[in-house]
Amino acid sequence: MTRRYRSFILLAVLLILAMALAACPAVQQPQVIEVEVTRIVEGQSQVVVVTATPEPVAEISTAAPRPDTYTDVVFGDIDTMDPNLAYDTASGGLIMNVMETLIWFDHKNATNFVPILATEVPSVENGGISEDGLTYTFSIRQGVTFHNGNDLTPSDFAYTFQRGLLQSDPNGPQWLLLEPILGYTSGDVTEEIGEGAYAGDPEALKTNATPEELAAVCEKVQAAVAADDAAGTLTFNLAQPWGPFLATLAQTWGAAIDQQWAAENGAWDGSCDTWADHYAPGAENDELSSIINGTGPYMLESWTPGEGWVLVANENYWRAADDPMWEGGPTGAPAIKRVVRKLVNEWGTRFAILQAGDAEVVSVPVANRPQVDEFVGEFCDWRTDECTPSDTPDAPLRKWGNLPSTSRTDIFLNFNVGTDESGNNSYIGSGQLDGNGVPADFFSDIHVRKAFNYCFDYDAYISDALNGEGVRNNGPIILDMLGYNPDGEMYEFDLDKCAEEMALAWDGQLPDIGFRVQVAFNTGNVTRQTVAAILQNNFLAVNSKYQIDIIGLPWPTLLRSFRAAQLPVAISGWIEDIHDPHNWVQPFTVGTFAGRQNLPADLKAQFQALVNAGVAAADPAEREAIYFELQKLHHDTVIQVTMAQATGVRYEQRWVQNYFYNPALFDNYFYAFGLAQ
Amino acid sequence: MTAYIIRRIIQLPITVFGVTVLIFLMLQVLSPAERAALYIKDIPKNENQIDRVIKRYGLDKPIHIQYINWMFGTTDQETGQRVGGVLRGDLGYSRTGREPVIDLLLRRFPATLELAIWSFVPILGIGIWLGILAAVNHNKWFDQLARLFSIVGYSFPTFVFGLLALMLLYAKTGWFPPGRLSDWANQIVLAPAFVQYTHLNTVDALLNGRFDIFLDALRHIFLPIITLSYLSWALLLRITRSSMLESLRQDYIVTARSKGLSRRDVINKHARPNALIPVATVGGLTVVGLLNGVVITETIFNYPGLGSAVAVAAVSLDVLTVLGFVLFNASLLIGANLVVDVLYALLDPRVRLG
Repeated sequence: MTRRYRSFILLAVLLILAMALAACPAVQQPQVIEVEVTRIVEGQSQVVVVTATPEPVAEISTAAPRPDTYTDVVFGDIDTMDPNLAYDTASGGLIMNVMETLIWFDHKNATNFVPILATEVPSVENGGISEDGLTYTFSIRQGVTFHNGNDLTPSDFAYTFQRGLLQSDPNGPQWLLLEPILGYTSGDVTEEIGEGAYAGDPEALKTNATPEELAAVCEKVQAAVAADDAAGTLTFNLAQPWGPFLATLAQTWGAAIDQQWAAENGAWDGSCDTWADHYAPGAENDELSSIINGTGPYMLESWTPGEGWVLVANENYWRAADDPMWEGGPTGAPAIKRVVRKLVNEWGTRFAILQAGDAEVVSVPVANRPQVDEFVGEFCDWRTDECTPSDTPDAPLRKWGNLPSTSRTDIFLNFNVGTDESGNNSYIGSGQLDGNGVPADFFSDIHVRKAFNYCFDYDAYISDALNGEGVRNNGPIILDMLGYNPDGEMYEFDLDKCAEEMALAWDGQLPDIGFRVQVAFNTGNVTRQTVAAILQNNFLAVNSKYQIDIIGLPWPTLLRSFRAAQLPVAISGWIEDIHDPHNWVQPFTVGTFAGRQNLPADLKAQFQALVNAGVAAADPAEREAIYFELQKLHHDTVIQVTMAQATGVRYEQRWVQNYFYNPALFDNYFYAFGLAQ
Repeated sequence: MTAYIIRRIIQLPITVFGVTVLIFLMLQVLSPAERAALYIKDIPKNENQIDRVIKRYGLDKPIHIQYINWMFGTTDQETGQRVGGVLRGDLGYSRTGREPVIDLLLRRFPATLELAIWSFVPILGIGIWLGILAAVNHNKWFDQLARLFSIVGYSFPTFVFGLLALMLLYAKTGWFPPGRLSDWANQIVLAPAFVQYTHLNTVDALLNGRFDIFLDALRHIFLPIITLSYLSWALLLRITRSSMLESLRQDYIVTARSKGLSRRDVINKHARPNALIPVATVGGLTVVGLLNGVVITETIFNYPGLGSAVAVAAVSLDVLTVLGFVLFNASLLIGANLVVDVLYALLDPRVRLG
């Protein structure tokens, strides 16, 4: 080996050593303590100073290595920072820490609200909601400034809601506000122009709509959401009474935008002459997609697409020490000064980061939870905040279990499958009741639907697909939500009853002839694949002629086929937009899924009457009674196989403090959190 | 030579045109509703959402219209002028990258380039060195060891090697973290006082006199380099070894030896230059591969290069991003092939380009 090579190797080794040394944390030196001791020397006392070197203090595993910085490592980037456009949880997570809404959730409670930028939560009792439920008036907090120093005014809020409604992006959340405020069910503000022919197409709208038509839309929106800066109020004039209206306003699409700042950055200026230029922009053309200016406890420092974002504390946050967000809640400037969100798609990498202690929290897939469980030192209950040590109490992580999710996977049975342009449907085999397929209206027979409910092993689903972390629901509404009936009936796994129902279906032909039907799920979704496998095995156990073919479809194909109502059986899921029963009963019984299942018109009409009554009722007790009735109808008509609501888990380093869970929140609210020093 | 280079440069737009047309044709297999899935990640919450997305992004327009719009831009309704289009330098908006495609490519490329530069030297240098040593020590213990090393490296899946490296050298020790920079270093790099001359962190750190950031960047890039190198050494070692063995059997080597030249001169001056000709081809392709982004390595080490971005775009059917990458990739490939061909002519006087 030549001297040159040796030098090269030596240099490389030195460089690696330098990097390793740079990576090493500073070594904690033993603390030197000086104490005074008194020594008696022949009748006189003498004070001598001795220096004691105590035993090195064991490193406290619950002290945060970076006490000012909270790092979480997840996957999935934000779509946009524009609250009017943001409709994904990742974007919502950023917005809810930087911007603020009129009202918000009361700590862990997903159905009670506290005022944020409003001075109180409106009610009929305090006069904030009119007796007919059509007018909501909010008094806006004074003395609040945006991060850029501009004052918050009621006009900013009016601008926020008007801009959102007029923006009506097809991928945005504005349909949730259009229905109560303008009474539009199409999800688009141009519904009344050319019978909605230009909805979603800004160029066609600008080309074809007359200036009068455009002005009329804008004026209607401005009349529906009006501000009075002198009185300090914001008023919504609804098109119809809307029970979930407060829940809708509490989410990020109701976050205040600084009108002056927005217009300066090229967004809509508030004029009815220009709104069409900002209609349905998409994130790519939206002026506020990559900038943000709120009133909240954190300010955006940086966002690098695909890599993550960084928030820094707003040291001038308006909340005074005597004005906690909720009882015992945070006040003043945020305790955590810096929040770093890193995007890491690969689980192994996230796990390594967690083990190295470089993140407070990482997202853990269901399948990998047992891997992380080995590092859990204590288990905590989110309802009581009580923690109990695990078998390895010195382990570095804390686990919060049984966090009820706001999503559920179910099995959707199609009452009359659609066909493609050629009149075919490849998902129902022969299309006949000949053992090699099923007729298009196979699931129109209630006995078949009941059999599918009895043949599903719910416990196996919870233990195998949900890692034991799930709880059954008995209808569209999820547990703990207004309208959920804890005494409601539900179908239990029972192969005998499954066989009985199949024998009753289709004039008793099925046990002899059998059937073959395809059950579709989106490829890569192991949970849904497991659901299909459970169903397949159980039907085979009942009768070998009951054939279920499991078919994994790429998401685009599943979306297309499901939308065209071509899938006889689809395994799909729903994530709520607002924490209100309407957001569950509507899609499940008359909206999205009802359409994809081709529910018969008369059945849909029965549900529609109850859905309409439930959403219009203001009194919670009245709403509950209506939803009880609706869920009974859902059970009796067996339109779906209702499975289990997954319960989530959070693993965090034990130096994280004050974590709380609220099922209605998109993400963590870092303002309430702390890090052990 | 000049004519050859000009001819290859002229081929570039034709190749790119062919590839982009092919991609557009392949996309016709998917219906507009399927392509709308890029914009709708969950079950649509509103019945009209898919139709409006299709309309909003013109997914139902004829393929040639979509292609023309992409290539030449669209007409602005108010001004009547054409806006956007590849020929105007606008590659469209990357839905998965959340920024214009050109910005995505330009932002991600420096990371990939930095990784390629740092990996190139050990990959080629050590790979060739090991190959030559194995050949000159044919069938001796070093050769056997090198072959074993090569087989293991060749058969080791990247993700397994990468994850093992990550677990041992990061999760357990904290030495070599994933990503491109630590948070503290990132703060400094993003601050206005730090001038990003090249967007290569190691280079910029030295130019800004920040050795701490240089070391931090090296700590982050170390494991990707090792992973890429180890898996590439195997190939280069085998090719160099066999090529060198072939060279060593040639008559001119016997002649050189019989002339009394030292072993070192025979190897370095006579055998090695000829043995490197096939290595140049593999080396060129290796560089192109590195510059295109190395998907698995970038994903495992959360290294924000081109490869991981395009992989996400491809699985999400983000057509504009994929097309932008194809344009970039085709240019790079043709350029690299050109360099390799020229290099061939320089290495081997018998090869004449014309």
